Amino acid sequence: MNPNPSVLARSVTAHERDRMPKKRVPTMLLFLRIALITVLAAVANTYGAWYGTWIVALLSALVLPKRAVAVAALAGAFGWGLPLLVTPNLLRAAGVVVDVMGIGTSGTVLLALTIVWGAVLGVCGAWAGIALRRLWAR
Amino acid sequence: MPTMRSTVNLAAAGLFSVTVLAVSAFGVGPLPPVGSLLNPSTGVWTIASAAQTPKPETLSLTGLEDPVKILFAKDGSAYIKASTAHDLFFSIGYLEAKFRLFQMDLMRRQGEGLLSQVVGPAALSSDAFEDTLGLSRTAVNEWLQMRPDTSAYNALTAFCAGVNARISRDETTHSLPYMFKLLNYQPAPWTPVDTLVVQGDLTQTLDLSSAPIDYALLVRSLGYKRTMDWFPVLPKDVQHPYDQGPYATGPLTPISVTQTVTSQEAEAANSLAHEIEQLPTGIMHKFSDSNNWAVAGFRTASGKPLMAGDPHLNQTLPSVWYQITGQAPGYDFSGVTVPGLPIILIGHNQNISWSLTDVQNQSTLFYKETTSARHPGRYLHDGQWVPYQTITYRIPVKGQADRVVPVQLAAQGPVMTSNGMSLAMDWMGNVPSPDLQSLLDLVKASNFSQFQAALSHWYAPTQNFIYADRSGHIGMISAGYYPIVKAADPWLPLPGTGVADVVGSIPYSAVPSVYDPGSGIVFSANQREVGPGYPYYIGTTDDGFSNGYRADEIYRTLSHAHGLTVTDMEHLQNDTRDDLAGRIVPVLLHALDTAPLTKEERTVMASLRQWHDHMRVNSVSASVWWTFWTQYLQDTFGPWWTADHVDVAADSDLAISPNQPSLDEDLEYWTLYDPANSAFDQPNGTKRTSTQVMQTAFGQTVNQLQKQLGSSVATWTWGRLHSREFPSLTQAPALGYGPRASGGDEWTVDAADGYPISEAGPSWRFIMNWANGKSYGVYPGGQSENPLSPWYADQINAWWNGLYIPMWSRSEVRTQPGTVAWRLDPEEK
Repeated sequence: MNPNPSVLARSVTAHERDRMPKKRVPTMLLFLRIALITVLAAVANTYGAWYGTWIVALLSALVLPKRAVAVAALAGAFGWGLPLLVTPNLLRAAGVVVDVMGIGTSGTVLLALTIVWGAVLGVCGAWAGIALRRLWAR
Repeated sequence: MPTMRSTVNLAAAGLFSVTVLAVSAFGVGPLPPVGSLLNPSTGVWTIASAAQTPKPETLSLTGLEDPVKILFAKDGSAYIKASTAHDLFFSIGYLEAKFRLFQMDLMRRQGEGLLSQVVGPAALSSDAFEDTLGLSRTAVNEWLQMRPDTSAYNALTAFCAGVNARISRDETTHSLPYMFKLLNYQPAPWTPVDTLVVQGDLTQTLDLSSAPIDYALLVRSLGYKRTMDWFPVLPKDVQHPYDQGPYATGPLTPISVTQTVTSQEAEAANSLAHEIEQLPTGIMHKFSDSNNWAVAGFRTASGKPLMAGDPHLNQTLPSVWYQITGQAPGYDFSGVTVPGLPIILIGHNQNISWSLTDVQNQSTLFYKETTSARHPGRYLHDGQWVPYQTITYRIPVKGQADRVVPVQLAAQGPVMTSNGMSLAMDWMGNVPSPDLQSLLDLVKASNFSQFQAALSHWYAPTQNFIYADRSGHIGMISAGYYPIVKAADPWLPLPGTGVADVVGSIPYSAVPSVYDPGSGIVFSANQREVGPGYPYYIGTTDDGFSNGYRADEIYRTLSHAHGLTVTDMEHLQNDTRDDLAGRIVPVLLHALDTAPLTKEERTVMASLRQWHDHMRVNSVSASVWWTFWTQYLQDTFGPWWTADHVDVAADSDLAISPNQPSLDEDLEYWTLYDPANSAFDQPNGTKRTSTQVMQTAFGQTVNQLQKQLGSSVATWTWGRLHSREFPSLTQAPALGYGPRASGGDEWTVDAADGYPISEAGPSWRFIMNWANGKSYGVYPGGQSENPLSPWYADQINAWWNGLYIPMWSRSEVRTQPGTVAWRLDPEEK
C-alpha cells in the first residue's frame, strides 16, 4: 500500500525541508522580519533588557527558520546601531568611554563593538532557534 | 529520534549562546557585563544624553514639602529658591547627585576604605590606611552626637533624601553616570555618615601631616641640634603674621629639650613613611594652601570693604567645588560647596562674606607605645598595662577575596605601624567636630560677633576664616583645635605612656584673630599667623606653614595701596611675582660681579638684570631663577644630606627642594644676613660662603639649562620648564586638561604647586565687593562631572586668563541669556 502522500510530506524532517531547494522568500517579507526584530530588540533595550535581542531572534528562527541567521544578524546590528543615530556627540561619547576603559581614544571601536554585539546576540539567538526547531521537528 | 548531527548542532548553538549571554551578563576578566554596558539605550551610551544641559521642566519628587524653583545660569551655577529649609537642603542634595554623583561616591569610598571594592587591589593601601586612620569611626561618632532637634541634623537628613531621590530616579531611568556602568556597580543610598566622611576627607587633605615622622628621621640622620637649627620651630626670616598681638597670656609649652631617636623609633618612622609614600596623591597634606585677604573701606575706591579668597587644592576634573545660591526662610547664601556636603564652605550672604585658608598648625601627634612580651596585646599607659582596643575591618576587593585589616586603638588613637615599635597617632581630625552646625550658623550670621560665635564650635581642620561685611568691618579668626601636650618637643614622636598626652586646646578666646585692624588689611597665605611673642606652641616651620613669600607679596601690594577696586583684587589673585626672587636676585647679581663668567653666563646675567621677578610663561629669567634656587638649595644642603644619610628614598618629604619651607627660609636668611653660616661649609670642614655657593650654583644652572633647553638663551622660557595639569578623577588622560605651559611657581600668589607639572593651585577664585554686594568667582573646571557636558571644563579658559564670572543675584540671573528654569514639585501621594 502506498503511503498517503501527505504522511510522506509530514515525515520529511525540518532539517531536510530546510535543505530542499529554497523557494524565493519575498523581499518584502524579509524586510518586515528584519524591521520587526529590530524594533523589538530596540524596545527591549530601552527597558535594559539587552537579552531581548537574543530572545526575539530565537523565537523568530523557531517560527521562520529560512535565512533566520542573516535576518537576526542584520536586525541585531540595526537594533543596537540605529538608536545610536539619535545619540548626540556619538563619537565623542564613544571616545570618552574607550579612553576611560584604556583601549585607546578612537570612539569607532566602541561604536563597532556595540553594533557587532547586537549582531552576535541576534546570530546566537537565531542559531539556537534553528537548532531547537530541528530537534523538535524530529 | 534526533540525529547526532542535530544534537551536535544544538549543543554548539547552546554553547555559543551560553558564552555570549554569559559575557553579556557577567563580563569576562576586567570587562564589565557587555550586554548592559553596550546597550545603546541604557548602557554607557547614556553618557551623551546625560551630558545635555537642563531644559525647562517640572519634576515631581517624593520627599519635598513644597514646590522649589531652580534656575541654572549659563555656566551651570544653580540658584535654588525653596519655601522651607528642608526643601532647600533636599534640592542641594538632588542637584549635587544630578551633576556629581560619581565624584561623591568616590569621595565617600575613599574615606570609608571601600575603593578596592570597585577598582580592585590597586586601592588596597589607601583603604587599609583609611580604616586604620578611622574617618568612618569619627563620622559615626559625629552622627551619633548630632541631636535631632538641631538644624545640622535636619539639613543633613534632607540633603540625604535629595541625593537618594536622584539616585532612585537615575536607577529607574537607567541613567546612572557612565562610570557606574563601566565599573559595574550601583551606588548605595547616601547616608548622613557618608556626608560626614566627605567632611573628613577634606579635613584629612588639609590637616593630616606626617611631620613628626619626618622629624624623627631627620634627628636620626642629621642629629637633634642640626635638625632644630635647619627645621626650627620659629622661622628665621622676617614674616608678616596677620595677628601681631597683643596676645592673651597663658602658660607656655616648654620646649628645647635635647632628644634622640632610637633605632626602633627610626625603624617605625621609616616604615610608616614608606607606607605613606604609597598612598594616592591628596590623602596627606602636602602643599601650603590658599590665600585670602580683606581691605577696609579707607583703602578702597568705593569706601566699602573688598574681600578675596582663593583656596589652593588639588586641581582635578571635575573640580572639588560646586557653585550654588540658596534661598529659604532664614537662609540666603551664595558660594561653593563640595559635592557630598549640604552647605557652602566659601561665599557670602546678604551681610557678610568669608573665605578659608589652612592654618597649618600641628594637628597630628605621634606616640611611641611601650609594649612588652610579657603583656601581649597591651601597652603601658598611666602606669597600667592597658589592652589595645581592636577593630577588625573587612575590605572587599574587586575580583579577589576580601582582606582583613585589624586596627589597634591606643589611648591616643590608632596604631599606624608596629614595625620596629608601635606608633599611635593622635590627629585632631579624629575628634568629632560639629563643622556642619558651625557652617549653618555661619551662613546665617550678619555681623562679626555672630561669625565669631558660629566658629566657636569649629574644631577641625583649623582654618583662617577671613571676614568682611556690608557695614564696613573686616576681620579674621583662625578657628579650630590647637592641641597642647604636657611634654616637650611635640614635633617628635612622643612617649605614649601618658606623660605626653594632649591636655587641651588653646582656648578659643586666645586663638589668632583680628577685627578691624588699624592697617586696614587682613591677609593669610598659610604664613605663621602670629609673631614670636604668641604664648602658645602651634607648630614648627616643617608643619606646613608656608615660607611666607605669598603673604609677603600680598602685604607688599596692599600695605601702601589706596583706591583699591575689584580689578586690583583680580590682579593680585593672578599675580605671578616671586617675592623671594625680589630679595635674592640682587644678591646673586652682586655675587656674580666678581666671578669669571662665560659668554652664556654673561648673557643670562644680563637677562636677570632686566627682570622684574615675574614668573611669566615667556620669561627666560624665571627659568633661570627657579633652576638657580633649586640648585642653590641642593649645593648648600646636599652635601650634609649625603654625609648624614638622610633617607629620602623612604620619605620623599625629606628631599631638598623649594617645597621645603624651612630650608627656603634658612637659606634666604643666611644669604641676606649670615653669608658665612657654617651650613655653607662642606661636611669635611672645607669653608664656604654664600657668595661662593651662589657662584657655583649659577654656573651649574646655566649648564643645566643649556643641556635641557638648548644653547639659545632667548628660548629658555619658563613655559618650557613649567606647566599645569588638571587630571581627571577617572585617571583617563584625555579627560584631563593639560599639561599646558604656565606661569607662577610654588609661592607666587597665583600659586602653582608642584614642579615641573603643577597639579595644585587656586581651585576657586572669589572676590566680594561690599560697595554693591556683587561677587565674582571662577574655578578651573565646570559644574558637571560628565566629560561631554558643556559644563565639564567651561570655566577653565576664564580661570586661565584671569577672568571672573559674576555670581548673580536671583533676580539678575532670571534675566540673563541662557538661564534655564526647573520646578521641583512634591509628588502627589
